Amino acid sequence: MTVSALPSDAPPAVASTPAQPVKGSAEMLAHEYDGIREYDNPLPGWWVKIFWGSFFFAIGYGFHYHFSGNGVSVHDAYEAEMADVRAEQARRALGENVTEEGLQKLTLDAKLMADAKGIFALRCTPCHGEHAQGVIGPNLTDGYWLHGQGTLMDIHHTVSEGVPAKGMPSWKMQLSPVQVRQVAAYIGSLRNTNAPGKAPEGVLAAPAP
Amino acid sequence: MSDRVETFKYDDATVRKFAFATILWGLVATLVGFYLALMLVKPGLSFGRPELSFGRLRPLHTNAAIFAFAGNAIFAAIYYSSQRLLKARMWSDALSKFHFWGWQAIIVSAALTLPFGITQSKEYAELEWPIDVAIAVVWVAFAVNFFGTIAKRRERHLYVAIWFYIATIVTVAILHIFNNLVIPVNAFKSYGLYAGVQDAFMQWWYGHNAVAFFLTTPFLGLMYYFLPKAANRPVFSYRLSILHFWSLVFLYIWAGPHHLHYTALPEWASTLGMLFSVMLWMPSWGGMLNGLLTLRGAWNRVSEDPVLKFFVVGITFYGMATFEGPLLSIKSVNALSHYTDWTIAHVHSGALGWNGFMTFGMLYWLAPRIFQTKLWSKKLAEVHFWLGTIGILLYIVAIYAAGVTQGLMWRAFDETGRLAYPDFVETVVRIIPMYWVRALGGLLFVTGIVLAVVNLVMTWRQRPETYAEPEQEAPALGPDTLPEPQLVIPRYTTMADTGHRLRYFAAAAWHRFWERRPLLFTVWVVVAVLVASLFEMIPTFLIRSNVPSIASVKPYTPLELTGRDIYVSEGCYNCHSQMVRPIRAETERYGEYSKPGEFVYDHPFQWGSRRIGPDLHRVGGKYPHLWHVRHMEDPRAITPQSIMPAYAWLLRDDIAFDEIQRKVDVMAMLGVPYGDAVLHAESMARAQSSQIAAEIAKQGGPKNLDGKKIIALIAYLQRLGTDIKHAPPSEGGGPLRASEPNPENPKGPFAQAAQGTTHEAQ
Repeated sequence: MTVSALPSDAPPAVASTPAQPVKGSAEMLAHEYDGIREYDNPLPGWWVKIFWGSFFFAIGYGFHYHFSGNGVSVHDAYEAEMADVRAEQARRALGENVTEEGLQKLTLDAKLMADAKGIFALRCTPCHGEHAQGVIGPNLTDGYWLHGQGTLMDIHHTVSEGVPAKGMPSWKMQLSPVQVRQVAAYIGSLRNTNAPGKAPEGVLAAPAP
Repeated sequence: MSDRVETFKYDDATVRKFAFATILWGLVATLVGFYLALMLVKPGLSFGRPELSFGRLRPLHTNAAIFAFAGNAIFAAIYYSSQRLLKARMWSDALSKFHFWGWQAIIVSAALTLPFGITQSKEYAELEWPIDVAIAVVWVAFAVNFFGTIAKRRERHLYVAIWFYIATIVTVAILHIFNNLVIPVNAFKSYGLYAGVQDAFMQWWYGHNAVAFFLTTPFLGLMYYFLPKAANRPVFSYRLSILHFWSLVFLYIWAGPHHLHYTALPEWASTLGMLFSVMLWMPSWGGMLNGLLTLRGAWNRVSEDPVLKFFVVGITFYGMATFEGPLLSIKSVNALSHYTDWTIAHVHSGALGWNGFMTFGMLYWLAPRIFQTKLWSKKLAEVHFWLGTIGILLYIVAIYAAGVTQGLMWRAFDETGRLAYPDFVETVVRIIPMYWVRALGGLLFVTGIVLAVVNLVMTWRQRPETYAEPEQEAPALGPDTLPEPQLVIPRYTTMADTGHRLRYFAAAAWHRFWERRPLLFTVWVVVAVLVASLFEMIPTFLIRSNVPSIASVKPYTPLELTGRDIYVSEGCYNCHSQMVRPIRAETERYGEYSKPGEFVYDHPFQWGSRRIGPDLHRVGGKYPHLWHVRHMEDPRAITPQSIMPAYAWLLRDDIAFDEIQRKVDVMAMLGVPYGDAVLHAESMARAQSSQIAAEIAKQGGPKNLDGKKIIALIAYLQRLGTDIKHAPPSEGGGPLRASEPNPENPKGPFAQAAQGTTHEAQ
């Protein structure tokens, strides 16, 4: 084989892999490809052990989850967790009674109403407008109501459960129960303030008590 | 062996071309990546141009990085090293030319189609069918050229680098063909043969093995040639080469389903994907060991040679990424990591660290040899190394942090049992600072590539007037007269017998025999790949209980189908998944988890792999039409901190009604039960468009939207994930049982869809 023409600073192309083995290395094989030679060192012990370990782990895992009958599938694990969550929520619901009077009391707390205004600005204005004057959703400052009679309890129900058919989302998962009550009370405080905006929709509510 | 000495010359002109293409496309790919990184913090940077929007450009970035940068790099490596390892010039100069220019033409056509929304939407297989055909043709030409060179080689045995090249060439061909089987609608649009669960399975069989056989095996081949050459040391262990080669080839193919944990893919497939990924850990590290331990006795040179520095860090990143891969494939880890930036960090440690640095090391080693002069500046190469290393570290550390942060925020509950961060955008805002650090890391990496371009161009400029083409000499290979290895077992005892067998295998004489039989060797590679593939594919396609059908799931209306194509074309899947996993934090946030039977008409599937924005599978009916109009026109009008691009052109562009009939026809050809719709798809679409436009006007929205793309997209989005809500109670809620597939619906296929729309129309 001829030596290829190379710049003087480049290493020669042909076989100059040193013949003397590295300390602790096994035999050098007779193989030689374009000057590259190969040792035949044994496989590192830890490498072999982990290789076999992963193999046996795979067998054990596969057997446990798919054949032994003891493995819990992803879906069963999910159903079990959700059952626990529902039980916990039911327990909590017992201590939370919403009443018209309770909500009315909230409207008198200026600090709570200021917080509620912040929540309203963040969550409600995209659809109901900056001044609750109605954009995608209805005007909340008139005396007309699409869902219920405009009582605080009606408003609370609409905020909490939503009206999915009309595009009003349910907020009970996004807001805490306390926040839902605050927002309902705040909206109640806007009744009949008549901000200029969308025309009234729904039925005229009976005058507030 | 024949004594006849032959003379020949190596073709380095092709290597020079591939080397230039590598670094130039590397620059393009990383620049686009850097631009995308900035767009994630400054969404206005797309300037409202559809061609520059994130969803369209992200595939350009990934395709350029994989097929243009890494692709040209492995071709440069293969053309340079194979000729020398086989002691033969490439089989055909014409095919070499065709391969080079054909591949560049494919890259250019990718760059000319993806920004215009021409896409199949399967990750790393986005290119539409005419380009796929071209890829197949060019790849076959490459294969013929490569195997032709093997056939006329003057080296009896095949070196380990060649084994890896063989595995690359045959497997990529198989993957490419079977993931891209489509029926064309026209020159720029097609529908894939597979739908839903099966499509997802095939896509990630392809996607994962593209990583394996395009970004791993050819780079290992590259390592086995260029590292011992640069270090001037023998390879550490021949038997380790054999073991890790075959175990990689066989095990990798199974691992694809780990991209689909907790999805509607059957759980047995998901488990196989996980277990084979765990078993891949050591085979992958076999390559790392053979790389790093080959440097024994040469470590002192690493500090002064930028080529070795690149190789050492590149191989180290390979070791890190192939440890992380099995880790991420474990289901419970994946539940946290999937859909987050953790995956993005993982692929970038692989792509920038392993593929990038191995390529740079190779280019700096090659430059003086192919340009036959000194490297212009060793110092600049050193600076490139440090910029690149710091860049990668900044990038991945920031994005690991972002991924884990977002994953934990998505699943956090407060003490009252509600999601702690119910607004998706909160989890986005939190990681924006990390996105800035990522952009900085990316900028350093790109700067490094600019230095490499300068260095290589300056080296090229000081090339000799004409390149020397030294004559090589080697004896021709006569007929193979070496004795076939025999397993001689003396008749003593069983113990001795077993001992002899073990020694026989350990000595690898059988493998030495395969190494001089390229055809036999290739056949075994194909067998390993196919057997592993079919073990998973056959049950996925044939066992009906894998995809229990749901009677209330109907085909999309012609308008919804059109809207779906807009969703595909805009690349929405790049940021939004359509797959609610059976995990509490997801069902609380998005709704009922996704069922396999819901996707049977999805050609192609749109499950996505990353949630830069929220999941959309249950978005149908969640917001009024007008919400979508305003949100698409300007996402920040609805959510001030949103980083989604504005899609204002959807309100201006017209639906191509004349293409709808052909689309529905192709869908019907694929087995979607379209019933009467195949007769009047266009008029159905027009009617539904007018209806939705009227509803928007009634809600107080713009009155001129009838026939605009936004209407089709809204039709699709409002339909998404709603079909199971119409299911009878026995089917809707709990775990589904397999039922008879697809009974004819007496009310016609669109009964439910029409119902869905009227219910929207207050």
